[in-house]
Amino acid sequence: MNLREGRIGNQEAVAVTMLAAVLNTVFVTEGQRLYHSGNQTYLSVMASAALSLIVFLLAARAMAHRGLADLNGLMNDSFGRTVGSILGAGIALLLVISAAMPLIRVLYVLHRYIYVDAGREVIAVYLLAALLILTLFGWESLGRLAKLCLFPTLAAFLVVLLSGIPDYAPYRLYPLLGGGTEKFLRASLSGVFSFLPPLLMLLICARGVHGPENAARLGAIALLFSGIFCMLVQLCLGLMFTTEELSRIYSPIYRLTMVVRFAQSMRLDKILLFFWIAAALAGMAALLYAASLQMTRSLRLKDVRPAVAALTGLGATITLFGHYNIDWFEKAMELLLQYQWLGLAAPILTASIVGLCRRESKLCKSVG
Amino acid sequence: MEKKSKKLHEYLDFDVPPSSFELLETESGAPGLFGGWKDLPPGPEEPLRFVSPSLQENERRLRQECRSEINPDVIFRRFMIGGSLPAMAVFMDGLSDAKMISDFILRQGMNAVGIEKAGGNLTGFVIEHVIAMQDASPERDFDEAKRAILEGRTAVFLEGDDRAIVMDTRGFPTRSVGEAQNETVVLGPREAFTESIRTNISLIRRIVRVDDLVCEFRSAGGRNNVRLAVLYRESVANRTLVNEVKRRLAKIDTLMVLATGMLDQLSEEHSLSPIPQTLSTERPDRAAAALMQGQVTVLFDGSPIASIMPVTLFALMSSPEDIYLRRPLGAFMRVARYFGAFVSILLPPLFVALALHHQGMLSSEILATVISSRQMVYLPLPLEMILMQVLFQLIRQAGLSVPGALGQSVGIIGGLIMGQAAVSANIVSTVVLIVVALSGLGNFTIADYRLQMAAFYFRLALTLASWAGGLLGLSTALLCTLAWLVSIKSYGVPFFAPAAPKTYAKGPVILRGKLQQHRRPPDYTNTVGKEQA
Repeated sequence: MNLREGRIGNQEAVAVTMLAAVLNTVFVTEGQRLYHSGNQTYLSVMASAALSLIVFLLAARAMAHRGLADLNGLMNDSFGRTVGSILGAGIALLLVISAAMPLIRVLYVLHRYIYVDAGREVIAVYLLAALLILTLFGWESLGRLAKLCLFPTLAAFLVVLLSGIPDYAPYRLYPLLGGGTEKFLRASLSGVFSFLPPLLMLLICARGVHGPENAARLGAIALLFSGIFCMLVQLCLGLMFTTEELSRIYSPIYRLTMVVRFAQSMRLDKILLFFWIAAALAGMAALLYAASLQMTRSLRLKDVRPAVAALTGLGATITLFGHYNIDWFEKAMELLLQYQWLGLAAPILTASIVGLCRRESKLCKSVG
Repeated sequence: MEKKSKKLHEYLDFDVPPSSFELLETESGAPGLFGGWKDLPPGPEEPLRFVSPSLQENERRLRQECRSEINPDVIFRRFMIGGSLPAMAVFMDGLSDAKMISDFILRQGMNAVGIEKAGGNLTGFVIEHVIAMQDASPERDFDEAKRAILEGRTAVFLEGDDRAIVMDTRGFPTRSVGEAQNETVVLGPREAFTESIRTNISLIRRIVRVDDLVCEFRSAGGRNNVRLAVLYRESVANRTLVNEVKRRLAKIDTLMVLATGMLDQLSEEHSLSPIPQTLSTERPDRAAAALMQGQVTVLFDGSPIASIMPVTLFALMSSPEDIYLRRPLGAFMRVARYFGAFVSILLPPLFVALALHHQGMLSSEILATVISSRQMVYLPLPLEMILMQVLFQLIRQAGLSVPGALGQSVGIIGGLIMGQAAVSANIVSTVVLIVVALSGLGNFTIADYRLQMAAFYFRLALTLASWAGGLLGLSTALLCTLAWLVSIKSYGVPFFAPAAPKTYAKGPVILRGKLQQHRRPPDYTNTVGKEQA
């Protein structure tokens, strides 16, 4: 078997989850939609994190209860092999979409702000080729890479966020909780799609992080820190730009680097952007690897590399298609995020509840 | 007409081999369409051959196998032990110490008394009562005895005994212990390894005076049968690591292994990688430090370089002097070294990316300087950068190849005169020259020579990536390079340990830690015993 899984330590697992979660949230596609009537993103981000954590911990607990080694095992154990495989493949596809979404935004930012005269496909080649190469390295290498990239990435964010302090104004946050509770709940639910895939990545690669119990502990730590960090980012964005401006800006985090005086004077905006993009590629590669591993297990293959190639190609197609049809894609994403809990959270919740209701098993096995 | 047809027939006669010798066809037939050796079926395993009780038989076999009729180096000296026991000493002229053989073997043997008391154990009696050598052991295996002779030891065969006595009589000329040429330190010992494996082992044992230091001898795996020694601390080094080292060394089967560099390439996992997966050192103190920390050291007979495994990036970037300096100075030197490596690898591609694709990021003064210096230069900026880097390497290699003081002159001539001439001729610009010079200086701060060469490859690759895609190309290429580096393992240990993966040890990785905290070996080798981390 050539699954390129290996084993990574606690710090590496937390780093890879945080990297995927933070960059998934910061570069999320539907940012503009969120700010249409008031900025409550900094609160809904925490709520999304909390909801994701509940689903994740239930799944991890069910896996530990049934003695299952990975998420595919949980799906097969709860729904049977056929249905479990189909649902597992569906989860893999949703992970691919989750990895493609920030790439669409990154591609747009690069084309709009940096490489204005270059063709979009040309820019995409660099990103997608790097993504394929990184994903092929496997879980061990991606974990170590994330460990090396995490602290400099967070430091790069903090440099911008902290240097904008003189320009922050609390009045820009108004209206607080604009749009009401319903909008807050909808934003929280749709934000689950940013946090849950990185956590599911840990469960899919649970063997590589020393079991589902350890994965649960590490996922909780990663989610806590990434939730706080994402809240901080969204809060700083809200303090710098009004909701009107945020509803028009594409990639507000990059615009923040362009208006902060320190970053302006040191010409750090592009350097920081490419730093974040590199880190985003590492996080997205980890998501793609987890999706490939899930797909490999669902289809009962023995080698992860065909799935890596296929799903990276699929991710590339989604990225380019979404980029060229950005309006249509935004609407499709809105629908997806509204009902993604059906495809992602609901099957996992159901499988977790079924698993918890069954008899406890001490064997650590992958069913299927 | 007949002559013409005969000539034509000769031309068309393919079955007749050409009159002149050609190397295209071997005795096994013509090579295949795509070349390559035909795999011969594995022959039967050679049976173990024992020493014969007959002196004449042993002499006949040795003379035949050592080609003594055309090879006068092998000396066959018959003598009588105690006046009654025929014996024969076989040794290599030039490798063995003739005086030692004369004084302690021949004279002792000829003057021996009481040989009749030996009974059936002739070899044991001669070792204990006759020969006055400190290292004498019986050997039943004929091939081992022959190998000992070819190494410079002496084998004494006795009539009526199926064991030879092998003694260490090596006395070939060797270089005396001198100063380390490539790893110089201001404070700290100056001794360096020599080509003699025995001398090198003694240099290490002088520093590592522990009872569990094991020295196992092995054959290098080449047909030239050179000896090598695998050293480790038996109660500290990870057993799996030691076995893996030995397994890889045993797997080597080549025509010849001449030095440690070849041995490393034949035993490493990533042999195509420019990054070394072992640490090469000519300093006994460095090898001793590695042994104390549970690593394995391999010495090669005939090479003044020791190989230490496993190794990490941080070990390759550290210098022997770090630990001899005071802690703040040692830490500063390390930071300077990492900064130098960073500048060496990233400055040229970063400059190309900014000057070519992202001019807005440069300040107007720098931009004006770049533009004015490149006004008359016809080469594109990236080509100019690559050309200067290649030129830098050429000057460096020329300086190494030219002997003695001339080598320094080549460096000065190449660096100053050619650089100035190139700028005057508008082949390169002054800004690019400065960038390449800074990059070269940074390259020399890297402690390991092979890592310095590897940095050149990375620099070139990143420059090409910057040329193609600017900062996007540079960042994606850098990310892929970093991913590849973290995937490398040196004998099972990840290359970026203990940073990624994070191990138990809490000490600093780049900065130098306190010596007082240096109580345990690094835990990424999973050492055993009471010194376990």
